[in-house]
Amino acid sequence: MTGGEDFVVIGQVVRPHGLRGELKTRILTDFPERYIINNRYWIRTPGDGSGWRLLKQIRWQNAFVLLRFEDVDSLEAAEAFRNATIEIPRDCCHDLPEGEYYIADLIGLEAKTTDGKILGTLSDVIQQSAQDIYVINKGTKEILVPAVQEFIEKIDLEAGEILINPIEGLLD
Amino acid sequence: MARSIKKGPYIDVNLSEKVTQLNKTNQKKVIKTWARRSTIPPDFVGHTIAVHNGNKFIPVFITENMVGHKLGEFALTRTFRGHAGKKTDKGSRVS
Repeated sequence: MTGGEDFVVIGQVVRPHGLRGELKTRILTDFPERYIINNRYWIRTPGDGSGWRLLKQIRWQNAFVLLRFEDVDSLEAAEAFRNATIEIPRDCCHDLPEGEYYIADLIGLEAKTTDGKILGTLSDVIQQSAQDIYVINKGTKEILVPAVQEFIEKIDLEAGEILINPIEGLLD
Repeated sequence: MARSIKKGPYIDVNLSEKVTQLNKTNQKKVIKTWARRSTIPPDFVGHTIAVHNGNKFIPVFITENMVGHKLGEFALTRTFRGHAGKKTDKGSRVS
């Protein structure tokens, strides 16, 4: 398997930690237990060193995790992984409860109203304090729709579409 | 210092009137507002208010949990789009 499209990012290396090759990694997943369950990761480096790596040791440090991979035993070796992303195959992801979707799956869906009018493509999900907001782009126009059942009629990942039930003023 | 209890919560008059009008006619429509400092009263629940964040209007669907908070709390003025792009292992919930 290569570093193709079907990977999801679960962390990003911030910098080496200590002298023994540990990598201080920012957790970018809703399921940090992945770091314990999995022991093999695709490391995508900014340079040419992308590839599968076996995890040797893990330590938690507040919002970060300190990872130590096989064959990375020195500060110099760890330096090559600065800003690298830690990825797992998409197939390894958990099934989410009903009404919850991976953001990576949502992006690119075609947004339509319940009466069939095409609104554009879902290009981003803004995660705010109250509720997520779906950003739908059509050309230069941007429509923001709160991710609540009142407006989101149906999300069909297989058909690649999201049905929106708009009220007056939502699509302006 | 907290606002005096005697005065009650500050609620933007124009916004309150618009919501009252919608409640009377039993209509649902997005109300645009700049009144970020306005407290959310229980009458607003179920309405969608587009709160200006200094750049654009962010639609906020008002739920019961938001009552007593200010509108501005739900339309952030600084957008942080994450560290590693959009392909992270994070979920979005349709609430």
